[in-house]
Amino acid sequence: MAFKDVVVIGQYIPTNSVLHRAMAETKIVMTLFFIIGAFISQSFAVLALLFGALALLIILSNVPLRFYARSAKTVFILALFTFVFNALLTGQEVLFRLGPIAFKTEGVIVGIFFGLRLFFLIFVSTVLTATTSPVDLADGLNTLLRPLEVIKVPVEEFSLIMTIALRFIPVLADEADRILKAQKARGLNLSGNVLKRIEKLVPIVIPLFVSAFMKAEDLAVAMEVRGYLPGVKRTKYKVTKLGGVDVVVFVFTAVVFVASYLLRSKWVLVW
Amino acid sequence: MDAVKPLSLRIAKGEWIALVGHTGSGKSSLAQLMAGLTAPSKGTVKHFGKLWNYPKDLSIDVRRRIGFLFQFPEHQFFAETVYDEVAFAAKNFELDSIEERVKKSLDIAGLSFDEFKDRSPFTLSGGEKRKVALASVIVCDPEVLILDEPSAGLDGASKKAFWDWLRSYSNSQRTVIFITHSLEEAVAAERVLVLSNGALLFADAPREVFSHVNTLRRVGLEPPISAELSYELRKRVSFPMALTVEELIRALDGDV
Repeated sequence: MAFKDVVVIGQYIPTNSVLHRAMAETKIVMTLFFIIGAFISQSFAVLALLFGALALLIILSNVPLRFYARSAKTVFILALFTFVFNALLTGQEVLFRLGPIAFKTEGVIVGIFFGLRLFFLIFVSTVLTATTSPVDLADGLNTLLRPLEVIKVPVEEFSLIMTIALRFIPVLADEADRILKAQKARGLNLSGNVLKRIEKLVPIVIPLFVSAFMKAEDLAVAMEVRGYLPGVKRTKYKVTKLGGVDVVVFVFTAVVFVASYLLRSKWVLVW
Repeated sequence: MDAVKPLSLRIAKGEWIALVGHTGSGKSSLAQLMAGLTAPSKGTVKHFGKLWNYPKDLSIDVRRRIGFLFQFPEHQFFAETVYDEVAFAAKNFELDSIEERVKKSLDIAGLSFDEFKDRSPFTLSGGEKRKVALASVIVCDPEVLILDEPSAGLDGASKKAFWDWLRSYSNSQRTVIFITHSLEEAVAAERVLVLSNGALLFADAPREVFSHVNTLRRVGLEPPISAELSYELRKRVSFPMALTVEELIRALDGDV
């Protein structure tokens, strides 16, 4: 399986869905509020509500379900880690034992909660990046962060860094895939224990860094020769306007957020 | 979309094969299938007459017997010294007398062992880097050598030296498959495989393939100038198919 099939976050899938048509700013604000919603409590009711909202977003995004399914595997491993650590280390009362390892009641519940929350956070961000092109995303951030310019924050440069970073995720994933194959052809075998595996990543990571630096240098030169100057006032090529879709998304976000706040003390199994 | 459409192909031991096609025609994908670096989504690939369940069961021995040189192979460098870079594959395959192998492969690639072994591969010139990359693949003495655009980025003299070396390497009963989009380079091959949009268009001797000048042009390939000239001449007079400038001159002199 190629890297880019695993690294789904950050990939833009262009379809003409309702969500694609909404302004980037709207979707960023929505994602932000959903994330805050997930963090204000440890209520399973809120989580259920948020997952419901997420399901709706996924359907509205018109992005094939298998795109999300592909990333689920990677997220699952992360969530499993979160679960196991919590289950073993949180609480006193033992729920069950696996040999010498004791799973605690409180830990299992907290672990399930954190695992699910991780799933939510990653998928809600994936919906944002899948439905918003990197350029729009950076433009959106640029607009939203504009007030910070008053306190001399280089917002323009920050959004440019974001655009480039997002834009290069698939490029570097392809590159990593190529390097991996090349080193496999030279007999690199990635099996073994964790330490061995980390050591064996050196022949992949170093060429990847070298290539990233070379690309960065080329890009910097290419931008300079085309007249890029940092800190210059810019106008936008594409001026976006608040539309009906945006109003609907804002209302939806507000309803979900307020409901999350009101439900914050329901179904809290462990606090 | 499939990078390579259904095709059936058998490559014999010791063959010298050129794989040509326009950009995005599926050359690299086919080469990676041949090397066992990618699994086919449909169909099967046999290596050395045996079917391997890729990727788990493809034995380390098969990997060792097939050398693969990627395009711009110098982008895979990671070691601190040329010696470590070249020895990497030999160590991975647990081969013996590594120093001798490194020495020999650097020598074959045209670099002095004593002068280069302790240098950083990152500080070499473009041509030297390519030679180190080549040495790092042939250090295992593979029976099959697959090269993806091996001469891209080399200057004229280095190019000629490289092809001379490759020719002699293939003469010693080794199979060589090289990707190129220069049909001039493909003329020297025993068999030319032409890919277009993932489909295998021709798999024949160069003389046969290059007589289809119009088809080649249609799929975005530039036939060798001698082939084009003799093709035009053949339309008018009785004239043999000449693939190289030398052949063309001989034909014009009336020697053929």
